[in-house]
Amino acid sequence: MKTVLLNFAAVVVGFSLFTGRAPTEAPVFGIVDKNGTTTSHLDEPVDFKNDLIPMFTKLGCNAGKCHGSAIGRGDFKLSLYGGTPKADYDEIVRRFGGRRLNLVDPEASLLFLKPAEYVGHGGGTIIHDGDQNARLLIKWIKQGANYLEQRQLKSISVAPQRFVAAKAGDETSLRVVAHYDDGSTRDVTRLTQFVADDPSAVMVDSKSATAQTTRPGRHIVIARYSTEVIPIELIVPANNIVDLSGELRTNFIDSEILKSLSDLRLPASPQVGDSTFMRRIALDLTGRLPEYLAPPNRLPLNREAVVDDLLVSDQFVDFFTLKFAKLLRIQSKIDKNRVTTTPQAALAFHDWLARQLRNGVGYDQIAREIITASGDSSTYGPATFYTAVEDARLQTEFATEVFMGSRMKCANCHNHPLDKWTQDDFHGLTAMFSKLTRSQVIRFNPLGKNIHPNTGEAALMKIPGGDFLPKDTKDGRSDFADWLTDRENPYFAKAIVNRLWKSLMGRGLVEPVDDFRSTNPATHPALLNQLAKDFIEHGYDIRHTLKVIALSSTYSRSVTPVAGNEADVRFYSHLVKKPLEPEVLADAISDVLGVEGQYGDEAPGTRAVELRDGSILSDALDILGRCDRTNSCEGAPSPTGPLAQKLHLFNGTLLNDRVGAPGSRLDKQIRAGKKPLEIVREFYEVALNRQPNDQEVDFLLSLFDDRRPAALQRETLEDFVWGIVTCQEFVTNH
Amino acid sequence: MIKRIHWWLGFAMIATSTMLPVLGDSTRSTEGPPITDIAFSPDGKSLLQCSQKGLQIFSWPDLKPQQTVSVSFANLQCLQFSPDGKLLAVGGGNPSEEGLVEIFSWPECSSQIELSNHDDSVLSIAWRSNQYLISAGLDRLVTEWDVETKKPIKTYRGHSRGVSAACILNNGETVTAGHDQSVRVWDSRSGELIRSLNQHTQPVNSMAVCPLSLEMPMVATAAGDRTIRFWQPTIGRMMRYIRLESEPLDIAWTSDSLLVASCVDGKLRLVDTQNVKVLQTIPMIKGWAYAVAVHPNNQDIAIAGSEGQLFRVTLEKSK
Repeated sequence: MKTVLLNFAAVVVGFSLFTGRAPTEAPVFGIVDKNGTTTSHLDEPVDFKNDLIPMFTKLGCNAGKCHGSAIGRGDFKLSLYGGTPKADYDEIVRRFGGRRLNLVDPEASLLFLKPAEYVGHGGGTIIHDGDQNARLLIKWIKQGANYLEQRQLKSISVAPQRFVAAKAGDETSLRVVAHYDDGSTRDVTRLTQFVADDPSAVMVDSKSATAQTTRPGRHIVIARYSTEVIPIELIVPANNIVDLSGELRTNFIDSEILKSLSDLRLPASPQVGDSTFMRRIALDLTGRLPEYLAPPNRLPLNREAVVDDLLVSDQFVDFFTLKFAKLLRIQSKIDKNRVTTTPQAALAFHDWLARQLRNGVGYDQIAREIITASGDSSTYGPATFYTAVEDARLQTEFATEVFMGSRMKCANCHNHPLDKWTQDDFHGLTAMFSKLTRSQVIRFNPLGKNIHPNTGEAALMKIPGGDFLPKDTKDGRSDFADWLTDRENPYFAKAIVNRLWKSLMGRGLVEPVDDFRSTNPATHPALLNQLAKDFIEHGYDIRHTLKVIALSSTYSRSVTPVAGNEADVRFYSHLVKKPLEPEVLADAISDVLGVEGQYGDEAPGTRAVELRDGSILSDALDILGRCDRTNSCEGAPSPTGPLAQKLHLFNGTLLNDRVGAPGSRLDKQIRAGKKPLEIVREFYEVALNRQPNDQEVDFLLSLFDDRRPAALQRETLEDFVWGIVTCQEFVTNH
Repeated sequence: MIKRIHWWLGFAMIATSTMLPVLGDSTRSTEGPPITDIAFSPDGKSLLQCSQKGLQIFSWPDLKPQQTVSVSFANLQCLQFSPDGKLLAVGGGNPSEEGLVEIFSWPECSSQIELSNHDDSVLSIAWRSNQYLISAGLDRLVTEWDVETKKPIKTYRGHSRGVSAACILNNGETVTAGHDQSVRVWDSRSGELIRSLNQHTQPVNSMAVCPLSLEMPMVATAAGDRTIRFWQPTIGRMMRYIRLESEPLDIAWTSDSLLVASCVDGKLRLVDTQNVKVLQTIPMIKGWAYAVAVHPNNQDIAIAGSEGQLFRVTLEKSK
């Protein structure tokens, strides 16, 4: 057995001023108590929770690919990122008769021999004789390998939390200070793990705790100490000279967006004209192509009036009911072996949602009624929320995704590695949902329980991130709804305004929109806060927030980049093109071609956006990529669409059977004896809300020849119409 | 009415219950490494314990130290006397390097032989006879040895994770259990697997053969799923089970209807095996109670665990 000589080298005690340059190895500093007195860290017994667990995290021992995986590795299982330190202590110190430690000869402990690779270790050499980690480990074993938690960690702070570099290649030192419940603080930089979101954009040297940017943009480095994670924002401006002082500022949105563009030195694309704005806002608020207005009637456009008109239209109600129906996964599903949603229940929920939107009911009231719903789902729509998924655990995932924008799924099996959610949070909320029968009639079931996987006992009801409910609580859902819709709730309002923002801007301030967590910060946190605050102050009014966004100058920017902002997809220097949603595209194709779609047994003339049940059969919608609503519909759509969709559009019946069908728009125009240029102009107006430009006219006229046989001429016109409804300008909102 | 008294760190405590009478009157706390296994000498006059401090022998019942025996490896995991009581096998090893069994003469405690073919610690030993011994290790291997020739004569391969327990049935079949959650029954002649019993849902920690089940052998297994399950391995039947409040680490029979379990919460539990009920729960160890042993008189119990804690408990019949 090798004997390891440990050299407890002197370490720096006390805080040094942050200089911006890092030493070669981040030192361990002492504890500073609330009176400012510093105690050398060496004088203190090793704290298992605050010293050792973070060290294991930094070394990667408890990461998912190592011993932190669900089944551990090599018969050694640690909690993911040290989420449950007491379980880790038992695993290290007590499991297998304490074989991992040798209290008689600490240097002979497996816990040291493995990572130092005196004994074969799948993870390679993690620590070295005499380094700080080895010294800390051996010191702890020599002290008796006790479970010591001298103080409770309250939070960590990072300096700098935001670093604006002068240019790519600049580096910054990172310092992390832990704040404890007894008022003391401690520099824990050496025990903190730093991970760059995009390693190709930021190089992090964990040893010296420095981060070096490699290219312009906004980059995130995650600092993890113990159970705390905190994002560090690194801004590297582009190499542009930008003057945004002349940019239009309509409301607070523009101030925030232009501020970040200024920081990043990104130029802003210009405002779009009324024609483009009209098509954009009509599709965004109603899912319909706008009525084309000839120039004398449309200029200048009163954009606020247009937005107001659209927001009070029936089409708005139809379209946003569809959006919420997708979010809430409304569709009938009948399977004798699974939880069933009857067609009547799907319709009841859809119609209830439409009524709430039509009547301008606040989103807080909508959410409360859904969460606390009980009764016969075939007559009381909100109860259908509890038949959308199979069981209480899936209900927790579903409810938190919808109303908090959070993915709590990880916390089913372990404390969430990238967020604050614990298993108690997950199973505490699940305990509420487990007290419901999941059939056509949703009712309270006092015998329902959720077995906590850690204890094997029924989990106690708990507000996520908050308190356990009293043991005698029957139905905890009203407590959950109270907490969720409280004005101070940090998730609820932000989650919905972020979704509204995305529906208009094409990208959420937090993206994905159902993945709010501290390690996935908003691109514009202040703007998100302000939008949420404004939403709450206006009675959780969805229309109000949509109007604020729609009237911002940011919303009116062109999708066309200008020199210097071509690569921007996150900071709204120009808008991003949004693929039309399948239902919207299906309706738009029908409108342009003048041929109605047929959806299941629905009455002829029913629009796809108006369908009240997501399971209604439609090959057209399937081809266009509609979400099947069995899972979240919020995945980012492919900008090009799936291959099958493309092939169908190229040569499938969806278009080919309809473009020149008898009674179609084209057929009527040809029969009316219209000239090709007249037909071209009408299709441009209907489909693209504009007239063809001179170049397009010249090109298109070159295709037509009145001297050819009528059949050939018609064929060319059909090709033109096909081209119109498959071109990017048509299938996207821009 | 029962009385229980135990002394630990100069602290006296009295507990009462209406169930089985329990009287404890001795304890040792060495504040050292955990005691991983204990065994009574065949004559009942000594108690042996193993830990990283080596093999230590105490007089019974007063628990006075008699002797510390040096063992050739660092981590000691298990003890087992041969059927004739003349040999003592100590199992363990150097973690992740080798698993070893060292055999001592008893009561001289002089090292006789060392058996080695494991790649990781030996966790359990079972004697088939005074000549043949089975070792089970964390390396998933179960080996049967001829201690006279010091050669392995058979290996039982099939466990997918470490093997924590082994025993021999009175019909000669070998039963093993391990961290792969399985209980396996082996043909001792061919070394082939007869059956695998998979009801446990967590690693099995310990196994004990019921001393009086003469017609149909019965074993009990204790596992991380907090259950003790009772089996008739020769026919592959799980007879019954009981779920405890805490994970049992070791079990021992005191009669055909009473079993004691030492648990992760440091408590000793007395289990009525016929009615699968916990008769009494007695706090004993601060930390994990790794080992429990029943004295040949079937009345005294020793329990040991974290930080070198060792307690004596006496069972008395209800009046």
